[in-house]
Amino acid sequence: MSNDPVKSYEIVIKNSPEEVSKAIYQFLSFCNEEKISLASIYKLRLAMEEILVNIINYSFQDKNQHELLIRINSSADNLTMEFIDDGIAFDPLTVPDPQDIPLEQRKPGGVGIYLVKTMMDVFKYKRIDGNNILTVSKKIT
Amino acid sequence: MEMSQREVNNVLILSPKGNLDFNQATSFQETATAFIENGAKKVLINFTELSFISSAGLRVLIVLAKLLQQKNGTFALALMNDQILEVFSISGFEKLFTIYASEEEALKNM
Repeated sequence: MSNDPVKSYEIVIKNSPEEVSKAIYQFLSFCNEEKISLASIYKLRLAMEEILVNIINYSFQDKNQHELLIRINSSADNLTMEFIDDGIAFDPLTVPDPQDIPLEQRKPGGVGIYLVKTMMDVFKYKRIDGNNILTVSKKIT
Repeated sequence: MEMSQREVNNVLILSPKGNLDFNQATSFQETATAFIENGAKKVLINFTELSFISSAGLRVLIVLAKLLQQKNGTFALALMNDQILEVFSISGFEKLFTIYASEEEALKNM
């Protein structure tokens, strides 16, 4: 038997800034309950904000309401977050790293994605059945 | 966003509180821009009471720095915690700003 159970948590939000705040707030409560260190929480919170803001700003080209699912799996030493949305296909791994581009020519979103890529241990994207599935994972303390 | 301000030796010191995130960035930008439009030429952002910054916060700092540059002003940052400093370092924004370890050092050089 493993003495390191995985705790799962799901957050479902609509595609609006208010809902992003709500997701972050819920996630922070979850992290506090799990006694995750402030240093780890900072990076995970940053990843969540950058990814969700990117999704609500760029994923949906219609004016309809969409649902985003955030699936969190946390063990004693690792936390994984999966972000699932039904917006246009977008692989953030194709965004060029910002230091290769002069400041004036940088596109919004580039710096945020780069921070997430650098701060997380795992950053992967797949497109399945019309959904974007972005997974990030990080060792936590 | 909640913020305190004071002036020392013609330097306007702004101390935003809490999180400079996507939610607070616009309100911070509006308040700081108003000070600059009203004549503040030397602006120092004191990070002591700031616990979080995201790329939305970084973008606002760039906007303020460019605005002050156009007005031949000076813009600097001081007293970041380690987490925030890491965000500046990874993003390369560390090189775009003057970052001081203390207010005294900033005031001496601005």
